[in-house]
Formats: sequence, C-alpha cells, structure tokens
Amino acid sequence: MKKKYIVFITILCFAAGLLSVGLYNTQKNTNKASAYARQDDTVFIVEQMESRIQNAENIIEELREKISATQETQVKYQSTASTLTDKLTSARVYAGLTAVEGSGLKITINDNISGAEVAKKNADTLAYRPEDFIIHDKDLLYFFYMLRSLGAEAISLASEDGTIEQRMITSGNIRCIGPVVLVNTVRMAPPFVFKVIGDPVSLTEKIQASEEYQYLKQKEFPLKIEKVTSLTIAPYKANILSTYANTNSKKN
Amino acid sequence: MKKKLTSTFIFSLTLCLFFLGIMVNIQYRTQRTLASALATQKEQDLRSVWIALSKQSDKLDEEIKQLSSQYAELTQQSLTGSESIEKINEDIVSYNVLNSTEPVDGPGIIIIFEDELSTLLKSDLIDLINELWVAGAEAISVNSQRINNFTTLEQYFSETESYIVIDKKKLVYPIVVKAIGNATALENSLLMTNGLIEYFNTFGIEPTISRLAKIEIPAVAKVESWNYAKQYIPKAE
Repeated sequence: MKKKYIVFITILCFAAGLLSVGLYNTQKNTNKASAYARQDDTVFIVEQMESRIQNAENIIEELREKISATQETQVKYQSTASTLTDKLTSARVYAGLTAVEGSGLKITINDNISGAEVAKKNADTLAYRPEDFIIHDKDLLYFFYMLRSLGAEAISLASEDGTIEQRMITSGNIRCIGPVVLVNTVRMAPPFVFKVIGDPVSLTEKIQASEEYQYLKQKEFPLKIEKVTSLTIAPYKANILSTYANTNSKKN
Repeated sequence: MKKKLTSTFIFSLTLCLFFLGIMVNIQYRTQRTLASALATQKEQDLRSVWIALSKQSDKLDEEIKQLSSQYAELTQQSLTGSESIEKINEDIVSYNVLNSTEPVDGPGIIIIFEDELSTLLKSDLIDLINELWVAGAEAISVNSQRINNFTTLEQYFSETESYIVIDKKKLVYPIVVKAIGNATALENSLLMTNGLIEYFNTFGIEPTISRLAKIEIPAVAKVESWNYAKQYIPKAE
C-alpha cells in the first residue's frame, strides 16, 4: 500500500513539474516579446489604425441614417409639391390670371354715330343731346354683370382692334372720368368688344332676352353678337396683392 | 496504522490535484492571451496588418467624404423644397382670396340699407359694388354672399314688390354690404360730392356707413367650375 502511494505522488509531482517548466518558459517568451514590441511603434500604429477605423465606421453609420431620414422627407415633399402645383394652377386659372380658351361670343357695342348725325341735322341745337348717342360706363357695367349672371365663364372687354383687352375678374370694374371710359383703370374707346366664353347658343338667347340688351337696342346702339367656336381671352395682368384682407393662413 | 496511512494518502493526493488544476488553468489562460496579443505577433505580420488596415481606413475615409457630400446636397434640396412648398401655399391663398374661396377679415366699411320702402334696385347694387372695387376693396359681401366671378344678380318685379336675387337667394332687408380695404378711402369714394350716396339720397335711399377695424367676410358657399373655358396653353413652335 505504501509503495503504491509513493508511485502516485511521484507521478503527480512529475506532471506538476512539467507544467511549472511550461509556465516558466511561456512567461519568459512573453516578457521577451513585450520587450521587443516596446522597441517598435508598429503595435501602437496598428492600434491607432484600429481605433480610427472604428470611429470611421461609426461616422458612416450615422451619415447613412441621416441620409435615409432626409430622403424619406424629400419623397414626402415631392408628393406634396405635385398635389400643390395642381391646386395652384387651378386657383390661377379660376382667378383669371391665365389666358383661357373655349367657345363663346364676341359682342361689339358702339356709339350710335348715325343716330347722332341724324338727330343733329333734324333737331335744333338746344334739343340735341349728344350723351344720348354714346355708350356710357354704366351701359357697359350693367351689360358685364348681366353676362356674368347669365353664366358667362370668362369675360374680357377689349377694343375693336384688339390692342387693349381687360380681363374682368372678381374685382373687375368700369367707370368713367369725363368722356373717358376706364376698364380696370385702363382707358378704352368705342367700339367696345365683350369677349365671352360659355355656351354660345344659350348665352345668345338669354342676352337677347335681357333688359340690358333690350335697352341698348331700343336706343339704337349698334350691337352685334357673333358666335365663335374658339375664342382666346387674355389673363388679368394687374396687381392682385391683398393689403388689408387677412386670411387664416396669413395669420399663422 | 493502516487507517492513518490511507488518510494521509488521500489528503496528499487532494492537495496535489488541487495545485495541478490551478497550474493547468493558468497555462490555458496565458496561452489564449498570447495568441491574440499584438505584441506577441511577428513584426512582418504586424506590418501586413498595418497595410490592410490602412487600405481599409482609406476606403472608409472616401466613403465618409461621399456620404457627407450626398447629405449636404440632400439637405439643401429639402430646404429648397420646403421653401417652394411654403411659397406655393402662399400663392394659392392669394388666388383663393381673388376667387373668394378663402374667408377673409380686415378693416373696412359696412353699408346698411334698412328702409324697405326706398327700394334698392339691382343697378344700384351693381353701382355700389363697382364703386367699392374702384376704391380698392379687396373683398365684398352682400348679406353674407361673397361677390366673386360666378355671382349672379337678378331683379324681380311683382305687383306688390320688387326685389333683388343674389346667387339665387332673395335679398332681404336690412341689406348689409361689407367691404374690406382702406376704410377711409372706401367711405370717401361713396360720400364724395356727386357720389353714389348723394345719388341714392335723391331717391330717398339713405344707407348708414360705418368704418370698422375688423370685418369678417366668409368664403363663397359653393365653389363653382367651368364647362366651356379651359386654360389656354400656346402651342410650342
């Protein structure tokens, strides 16, 4: 039993000895390698490089996230912008700020020149009233409101030669200063031409039945209605900016 | 004696095995650390690692440059996009004020016709609306009906009465006309000598005019559309 015990202990001590030698050698090599490394900057540079790469990867990750978020926002903007552009165009067209075309009428109204000449010849100087033979601003104004009430979709008042054309928008106005007719503040002389877009047949019938048409006919003013299959009406070109009227959008 | 020997044997064996286990563990850990430590690598290997890392670092720097440039461009575009959208919205609102599809408020005047006996005719109302536009009104309503491109005005006469119909609705007294704009200019245009109010007075129509710092005018009740007119787009040559 004693012999067996001694053999066991001997084997174990031998194994422990081997391990101790192995540990000693390993430690010796490590110290040697460290000493060698300390003499060289390579390790330091590699470590710096690794740290730099780590930082660069973090920056790239952050940039990619930012780009992705911005692109998503842009897609939303583009979609919104497209819808808004359609709304903008429609609002401009209906406000009268673009030229429009369509079927309609050209209505020419002139002073009663021949009537005036006859009256001038026949009547004595005191009885002759030249204002009875000229088209007044009110005649044009009531005619314009009549056209709008009858469903004319776009209206302009132009000179016969077409050099002057004023689009009648919501705030369209006609007045006179002395003998001069001003349409949206622009001077205009007879013959006056109303350019109207709408149903030519229906509009003609309704115009001929209107009080304003009957009045001018009765006063023998030359009045000609022409049906036109395609008519172009100029846009309103003057200032439209509101100075006093506020909207909720402006307040926000 | 035999029992004592056995106990000594077991104790010695346990002690030996314990130290042996500790030493095995230390050796295993040391070997693992050494395997991954840069300091234990050969100089040549370290240089190879350095070159590889340098190349990788250069590539990453290049990518950072590209991504930064792309991000800057996108940010600028988004800024421009948001500014454009803001401008488009402002323009739409301006056009809608003209189209009367946007409710508005602001300073202006209110003209009230209370006397039903001195009948206001359609032509009188047209004269009034026209005079207000000429004086710079920016929005007008008649009994809460906003005036716009589609406004219809008609006059009806019967044996017992005559009345104005605006946008298919009978205009009942008191007739209240509101106009937003420069209140002084609007009022003066109506009250001037040989002006519209003087003209009305000759027919016994005596409206009251009040200047107000804030008048509210609603949008049109119904947004209409065209059937015949369409936007003219010149043909490209």
